Amino acid sequence: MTNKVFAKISFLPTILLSLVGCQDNQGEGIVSFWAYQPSTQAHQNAFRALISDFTEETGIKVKLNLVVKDSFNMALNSALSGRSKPDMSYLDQPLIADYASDGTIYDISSMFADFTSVSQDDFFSSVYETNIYDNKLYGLPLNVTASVLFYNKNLVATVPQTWEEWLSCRDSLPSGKSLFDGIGNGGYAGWYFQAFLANCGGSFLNEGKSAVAFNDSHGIEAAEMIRSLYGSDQTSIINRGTSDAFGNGLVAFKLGSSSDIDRFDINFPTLNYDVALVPSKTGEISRSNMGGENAVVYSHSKLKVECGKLMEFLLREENLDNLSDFTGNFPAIRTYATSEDTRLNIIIAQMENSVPRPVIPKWIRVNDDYLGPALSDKILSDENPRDIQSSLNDAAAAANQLLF
Amino acid sequence: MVVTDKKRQKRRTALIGWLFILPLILYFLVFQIAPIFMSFGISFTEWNWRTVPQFVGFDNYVQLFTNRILYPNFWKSLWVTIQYMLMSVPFSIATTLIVSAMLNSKIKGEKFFKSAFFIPSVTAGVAISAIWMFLIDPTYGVVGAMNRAWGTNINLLGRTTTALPLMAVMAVWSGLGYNVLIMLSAMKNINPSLYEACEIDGGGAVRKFFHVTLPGVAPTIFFLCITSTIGSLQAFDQMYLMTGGGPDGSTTTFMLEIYNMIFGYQEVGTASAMSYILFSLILVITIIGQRFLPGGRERKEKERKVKDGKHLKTC
Repeated sequence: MTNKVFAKISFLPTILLSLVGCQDNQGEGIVSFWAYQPSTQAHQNAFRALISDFTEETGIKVKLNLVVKDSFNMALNSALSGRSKPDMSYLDQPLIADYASDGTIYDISSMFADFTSVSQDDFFSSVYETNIYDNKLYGLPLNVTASVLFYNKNLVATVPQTWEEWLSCRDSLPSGKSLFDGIGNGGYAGWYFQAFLANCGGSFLNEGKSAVAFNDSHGIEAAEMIRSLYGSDQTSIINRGTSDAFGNGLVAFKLGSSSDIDRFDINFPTLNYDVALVPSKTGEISRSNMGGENAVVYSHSKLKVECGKLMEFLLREENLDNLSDFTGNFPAIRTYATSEDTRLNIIIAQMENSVPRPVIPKWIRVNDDYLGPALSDKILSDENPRDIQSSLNDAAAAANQLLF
Repeated sequence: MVVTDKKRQKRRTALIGWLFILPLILYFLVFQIAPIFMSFGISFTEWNWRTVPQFVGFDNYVQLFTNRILYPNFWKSLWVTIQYMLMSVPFSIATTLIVSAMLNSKIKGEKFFKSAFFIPSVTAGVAISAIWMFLIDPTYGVVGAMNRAWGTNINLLGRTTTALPLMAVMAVWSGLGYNVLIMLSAMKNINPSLYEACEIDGGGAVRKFFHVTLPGVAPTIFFLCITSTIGSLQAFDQMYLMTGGGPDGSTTTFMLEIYNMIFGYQEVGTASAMSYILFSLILVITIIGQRFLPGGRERKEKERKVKDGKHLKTC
């Protein structure tokens, strides 16, 4: 073999492989579908089997790309900026407005009108609304969950139903234990704050959706309640600073959702805990915040009809049940969301009166950069707590400048 | 005829050589050089990954420097990073010098200590963070035990005054092994006759250190200063894993803010502009370092003196 021939044989495949790696699937009529990767291998296999069933039933080929949830948005954005764009994917609720506002995702209103097996009324109404931007429907909800109250049965005699009862639980706590695990820092604080705000009758945006409203009297009341739950004693501060304070039995209450049930059952098998509705103000119904995943179709896709068929297939009861199992959440269709587990039933009951985040572009930025830090770093600071009204006003002013 | 054949043969050999290094050249161009120019171009655009980038001129840079409402963490994260650098670099260099000098003094178990110091350098950042998280947890680990035994309320990661210094200590601890290895090699390269000459002149251990060792390792100190400075300006993993930037943004470093900007908020143009601001900062610090740090501008002069033993006139 001459040197020239050897060189050709060596390098041509390398270059060809590089080029093949950049190819997309649309020309081949294969739907590229991106979803969160289930945590267990069994669930991953079940997901692939589900997609195979769809292909068998419809003849439509689907390339399922399972991506770890923590890096999903990062990977999705990278893909959308390149050539390996998905036709359809999961999308976190608060991102719908961002993706809809710049035309990345497709208005599926007419597509959904043709669905025969499911209609708008079947979904939890607030979850369905997370897909509506500018009066158009940009996705359909698949899974949903809500925050509920976790309580340590060894530390709490009776479950509090009102804010007053919740605060009074502090009086009967043993030494070294504290009342509340907290609402976390930054973005987490903004997320859990909504549960308190909803219980005060407040909301993140005003009625006309022309300005943020978390700094009104309801917001002040919600922040005051959280500050009261925190307490200023050293035991509370130290316990909040430890990892898994609730799991280790150091705090009586925490807010959490369905994924926390699995986590505590696995990591803290001896923990004697239960879940309850988030305490409300006296005489009011219990409200909370909610989150979940929607399915969207991309505007660039040439296979929108096929995507619509896949979406309708996924919304069938048995399939949606499976998808919910994979993420640890619940089906977004009200009648499918059932469970024999009493703890999970509490979460389902909580979902009836839970509110999602606003459908407005750049809300994540407001939550993570303005509202969350105003709560965790200023109002709830252990070292130097700042005035509630002025902290929320500052956050609101910044948010209004960014959003409107 | 013979000459032509030779030329052809030479050209073919050269071509084969080029073909062999072609993958590396392609890799270098595509993954090293191209992103540098691409991100520079992107820094002048508004881009969210999904749409076509819009040219905005210097707007990203201007907004970052002037709009504290839109970018509330820009100046704050820059200041946090500089504080972190000022805490970690001098501490790191001083510790490296002390440990290296001790290991260079023919102590027993030198190999063991070298390995012990080096282990954190080859341990994954995630594992290091997990270990430290356990150590400093206010209810468990060492700090938790102290809190229980003495009734203290030490919460190192929960306080704005202690979180960043703790990160600096962690960085020094985890980078010490690598630095010591480099410094020890430099120390072992110093001509032993220089120490003997110093001894003859009546120099003790301290004098030997300041008049022989220190000038001898000046270029290495300079190298470690520059690499440690660059490393500290790019600090990210510990903050991301252990505090997420809190409490009260006290550990939100510049790199963490770039990460939030690009992957949290999809502001790719702004994040690229921030990257170039960081790059400029590193460049300025490196130039200043070359001018003023030992081993910088006068490095060659001192190296020459050390070689000649002329610096011993002060011994």
